[in-house]
Amino acid sequence: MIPSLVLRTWAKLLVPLTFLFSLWILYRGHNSPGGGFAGGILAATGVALYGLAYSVAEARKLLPAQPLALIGAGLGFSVLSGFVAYFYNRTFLTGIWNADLKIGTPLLFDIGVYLLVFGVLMQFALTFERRIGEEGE
Amino acid sequence: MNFDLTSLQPLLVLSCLALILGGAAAVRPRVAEGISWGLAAVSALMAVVIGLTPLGTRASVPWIPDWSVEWSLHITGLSRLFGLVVCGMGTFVFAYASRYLRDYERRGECIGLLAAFMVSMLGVVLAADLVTLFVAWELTSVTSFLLIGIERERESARRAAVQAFVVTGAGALAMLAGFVMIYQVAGTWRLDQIPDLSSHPSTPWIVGLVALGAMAKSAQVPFQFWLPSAMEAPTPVSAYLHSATMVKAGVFLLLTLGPILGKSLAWTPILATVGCLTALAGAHLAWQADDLKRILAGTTVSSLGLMVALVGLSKQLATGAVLVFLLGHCLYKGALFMVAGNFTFISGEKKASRLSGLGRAYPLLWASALVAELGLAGFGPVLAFVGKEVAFKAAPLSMLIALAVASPMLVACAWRLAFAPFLGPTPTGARPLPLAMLLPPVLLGAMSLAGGFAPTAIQSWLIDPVVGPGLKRFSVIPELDAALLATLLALGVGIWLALKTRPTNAVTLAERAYGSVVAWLRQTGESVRATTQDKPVRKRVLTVILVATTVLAIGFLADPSMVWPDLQLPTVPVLLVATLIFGGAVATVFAPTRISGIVSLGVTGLGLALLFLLMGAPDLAMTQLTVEIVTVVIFVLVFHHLPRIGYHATRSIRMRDAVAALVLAGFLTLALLSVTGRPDLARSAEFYAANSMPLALGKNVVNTIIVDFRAMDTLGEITVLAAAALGVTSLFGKSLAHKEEA
Repeated sequence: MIPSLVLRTWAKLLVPLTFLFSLWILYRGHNSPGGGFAGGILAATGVALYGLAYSVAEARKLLPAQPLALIGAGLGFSVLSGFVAYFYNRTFLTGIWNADLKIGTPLLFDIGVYLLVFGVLMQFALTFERRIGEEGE
Repeated sequence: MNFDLTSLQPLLVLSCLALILGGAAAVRPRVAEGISWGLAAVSALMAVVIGLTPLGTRASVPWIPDWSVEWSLHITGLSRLFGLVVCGMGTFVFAYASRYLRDYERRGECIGLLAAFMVSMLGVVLAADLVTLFVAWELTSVTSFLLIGIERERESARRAAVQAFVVTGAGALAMLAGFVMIYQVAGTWRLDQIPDLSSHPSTPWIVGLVALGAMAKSAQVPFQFWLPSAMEAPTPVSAYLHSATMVKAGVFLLLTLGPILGKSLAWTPILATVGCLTALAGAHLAWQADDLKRILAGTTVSSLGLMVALVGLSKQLATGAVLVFLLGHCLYKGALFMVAGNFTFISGEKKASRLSGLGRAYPLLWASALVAELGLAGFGPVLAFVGKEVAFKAAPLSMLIALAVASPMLVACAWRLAFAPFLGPTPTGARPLPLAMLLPPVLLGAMSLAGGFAPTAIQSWLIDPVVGPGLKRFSVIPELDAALLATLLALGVGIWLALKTRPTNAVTLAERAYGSVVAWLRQTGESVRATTQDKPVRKRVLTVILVATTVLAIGFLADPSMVWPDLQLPTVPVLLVATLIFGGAVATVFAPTRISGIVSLGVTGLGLALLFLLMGAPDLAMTQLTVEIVTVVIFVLVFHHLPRIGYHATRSIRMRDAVAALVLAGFLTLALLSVTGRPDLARSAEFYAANSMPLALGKNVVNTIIVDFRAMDTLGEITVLAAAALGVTSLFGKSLAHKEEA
């Protein structure tokens, strides 16, 4: 961790902003630049920054679940979104859309990508940070 | 919404219910006992549904229509019989497991996996095409692996799990190759549409490959050793997977493909030989063992050998015998495993020779054990005996001799388990046996007897739809012929063996062979690693670069026809950005410290993002930018504590590295240019651009490609990412665990 007042203050401000921004990036991805991959990375940068400024323990508190659980949930989400098509007698991963709500299974798939990328990067960053934190002590 | 699975719908709904219940047990182990009862009820209901569904019911949904691959299930005579075995035994096993696993630490996980296994196994026996069959087959291997290794902190459990998985998995790969060959020859995956391939020239290959899969799964010689090791799993698992259902998948496969391949010249020699050898090896294994479950595993191997040999005969009578014997085997072997589990529950003993005096305190247990051992000994009014008598009638002389040698050893096992554990004074400290653990073996024994007295009912309901009409009616009253003589002889010799010999617990040759193959693989892997990886990082990277260069060079040599794209002169902004990237790269190479190197590398990344932006790819630019940021953060984290960079390498070594890097870069550039120049790829770009909105309802072409058009690729990529994260966790988490211990 880096005990810098400037970094810590900014980190507190930036984390909720990056989270919101990443969700927006995820949502707009279908029609404009963005998507689950970029969104997931963005969300991860915020938390990683927070972890650098404070500590791994503090950063972990920001996460809704363990990174490995996020990875599993993401992969599960993407796979399950593919199975929806079977209920419409289409094959695996065919996009199924609700025309009125403008919501379809590709968005569900992308949410899975978002969760997984976020979880993978968190797992990388937190594992390394924890190791360094412990070696530093 | 419209289901195409109309008539199999109840079964699918019940399967989903079983999976949900299993998941609930895994998440909430505290209520696992109740859930196990629920699963018993669900599987009983499934058995009823399977029994009532008319034969010929078929359901399918497309999977990969271009290759006519689909998910499909059907109910035939064979799948009904096996489906009843899977769900019927499931009922007893879940009822038994509810109480048996009550105090087990991993009960939730175990019951959840058992439910997952049941559904996978049902997929195997109901599969209507080769692809569905293969997928379900592999799922049973995976659940079996997890169940054998459920006590993962024990080394022997891990080894047994890996052994079973490696053996059955390798066999399944051979089987898959056989399936693909069947598809190439027959032009269809559907089991009901494949014609008789017996006379096709490539059929011997198909038979060999498919037989390998069946042999591995059904623990045939030389793969028989994995089954006794698999006894590491809790008893309900052994009773269900490793005696009643999963190990019979190989027999099921051979029965399924018998009509297609059975008249091939390769069929009978391979299967009859392997089956007879297995019958002998298994009986020997059982006779030598003292561990209760290993005895039972050995006898299971032997019975499976008999079944495979009979399927190999490719005769109507032999097939009928297999089916009757298979049903009888499930009933008595399931009961025996539960009795063995009860022994251990009562007295804590796992060795047969240390048990005694349980008869007075547990008369019903003794009764059920006796009935079950009649099946094992192959004599008496039980269903297995009926099957064995028919088998002896169907078998040619050579096979009869093999069976006559194997049978006494099985009789000896039956004798040892039937009397010694029950006779003598009642031991102190025996626990009372709960009803939920007593009733399943008693009921299985009762069914075994009932089947023995009414084999004709079973024959007309379950066997005739498989083998066709015209088979002689089975009967429990044996005819006075050579088969009966062989049985009586085996009985006498077996009892003599039981009284005169002691188990030696010998390690089999096959198991030792497996051990040395694994050791050799480890050694070879280590030496490969030592020659390519065990060096300074500089040389490791060089290895990677050289391999990549070689692959690309081979590619260009194989197809030298290079298509040059129409190159245009770069605009001024592009030139500026290119200069920035080049400058960043040069600065990285000559960076005096790690941090400055990372920052310089970041400059090339940012330049790349700018380039994407100029080329009209804002998506890529954005992703590149965020990736750059994260990479720099992670680099900083990792390099934070490393020592300062020192340039230890001599000038000539650095020159060598530079040349290698430049050659690879050159090849990459050529490859990129060549790919961009190909007209067919340009067409696919046009396709995506034109169809993004009409087909995928999205304006962002990049995104619709990622999440819709090529979602399957993305799924593969994110799976790789997840695996990488697991790799990092195990690499770094392990040393953490060591630290905590210290």
